[in-house]
Amino acid sequence: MPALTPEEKKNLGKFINPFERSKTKTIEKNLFDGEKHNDEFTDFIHDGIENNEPPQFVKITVDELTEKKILSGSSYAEKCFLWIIDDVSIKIIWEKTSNVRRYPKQYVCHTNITACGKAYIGGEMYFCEDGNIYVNFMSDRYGWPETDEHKRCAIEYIKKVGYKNVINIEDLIKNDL
Amino acid sequence: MNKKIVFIVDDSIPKPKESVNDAIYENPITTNELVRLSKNNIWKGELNLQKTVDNLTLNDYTTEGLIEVYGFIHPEICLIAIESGILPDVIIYDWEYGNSLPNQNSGDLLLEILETTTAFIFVYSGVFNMIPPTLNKSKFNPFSDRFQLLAKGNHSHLIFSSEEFIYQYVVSLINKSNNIKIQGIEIDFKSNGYLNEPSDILYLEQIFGRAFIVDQLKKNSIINDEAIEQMLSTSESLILFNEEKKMLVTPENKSLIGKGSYLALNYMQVIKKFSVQILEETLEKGLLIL
Repeated sequence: MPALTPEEKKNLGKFINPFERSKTKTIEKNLFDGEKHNDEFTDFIHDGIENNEPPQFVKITVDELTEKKILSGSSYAEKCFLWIIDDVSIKIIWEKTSNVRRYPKQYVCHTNITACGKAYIGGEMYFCEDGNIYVNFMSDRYGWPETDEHKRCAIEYIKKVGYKNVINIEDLIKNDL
Repeated sequence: MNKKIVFIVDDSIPKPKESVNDAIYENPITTNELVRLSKNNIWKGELNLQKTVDNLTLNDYTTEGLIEVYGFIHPEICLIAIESGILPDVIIYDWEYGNSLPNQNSGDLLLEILETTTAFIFVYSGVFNMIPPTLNKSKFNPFSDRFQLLAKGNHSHLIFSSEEFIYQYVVSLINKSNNIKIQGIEIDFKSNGYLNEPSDILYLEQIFGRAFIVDQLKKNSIINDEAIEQMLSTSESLILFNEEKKMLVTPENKSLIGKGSYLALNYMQVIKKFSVQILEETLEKGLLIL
């Protein structure tokens, strides 16, 4: 499966440090012990180039999509996978991967994938039993890109590496307005 | 108020010459015995443990019998006490037991304690960096909200030092208003409309950063409604709330509300109306559905 091409990198927008898009947060102020390393999680960080299913793979049920309001924009850490696209490819980790160095939430965050390094974009994804993969851009560190075009390009890349039926949750929210 | 029982499991509880043959070490070491051991000795190399023992044994709640502390020099003695019916609310669990307990077994005994009690456990150790590979294993996942790893004497991991954090946690089980310490600053924590307990300040730390919070605490030395309002009023940032969809979004994501009406709430209003956790979560995700 393919790594990012120069054209795709260009289309994904800026290659940013954590919180670089945030108006209120900075690395110095808001990144804490336990959020800057990834050496303990290398066995759990999945490179999307290799194949489709990340370690600790778990599917969300259709009932849970409704109960947890995932398609309205809620999160459900038990069934959530964090993703980022770095300079090479998409990297994915189950959000509830234990991280006892972090507090109050003792599980991983996006910077535990990158070891506080740069990425183009990131968010959450849910592999659903209905065959769809629901994706959002909810991450204070790498999410919420400036334009819809950047989001569209991220979704296109996720499809290109082999994931099928990828749906942007934000489109569902906006269609519901 | 219900009495709270605290176990301190640590082979560094000293054995002074006059006590070395005492049977007390083969059983739960009582609060009075712990007080005596601390009063009569300087715990060389274990001053942080001694401070923790002093914090928990020399306070009004313990004097009044509302906190009872037991010491154990080995997890197996602790498990025997649990089996005999002494059920702890909080356990302070050292990781290393010299040659008597390899690292792997320490994790297994911790797991057994987690399985046989409902206690909250502080894994409190001088070998902090050795422990995460064990505690991050999936067998500990079901208990992840029941333990916290703290390094003995650490002042930088949390806004609280490890010893400050343990003390505020235990006394908050008895009463929400207490004199606590944060970064060595004496703080009078009063029940208030914003933070349920002192550890909620960790959410404010996530939002505003440690330097700002410490600076504010130095100015006030109190956490009450007024002090928190003063802290929050320094931020002009807003969160947008759509009542109909029960949606909170950061201003950058206003398009997700569409043409629907919304209220622009400042941080103080968000915490008062919802909670500090909700504010922190909204800022982390950019969008929160209630």
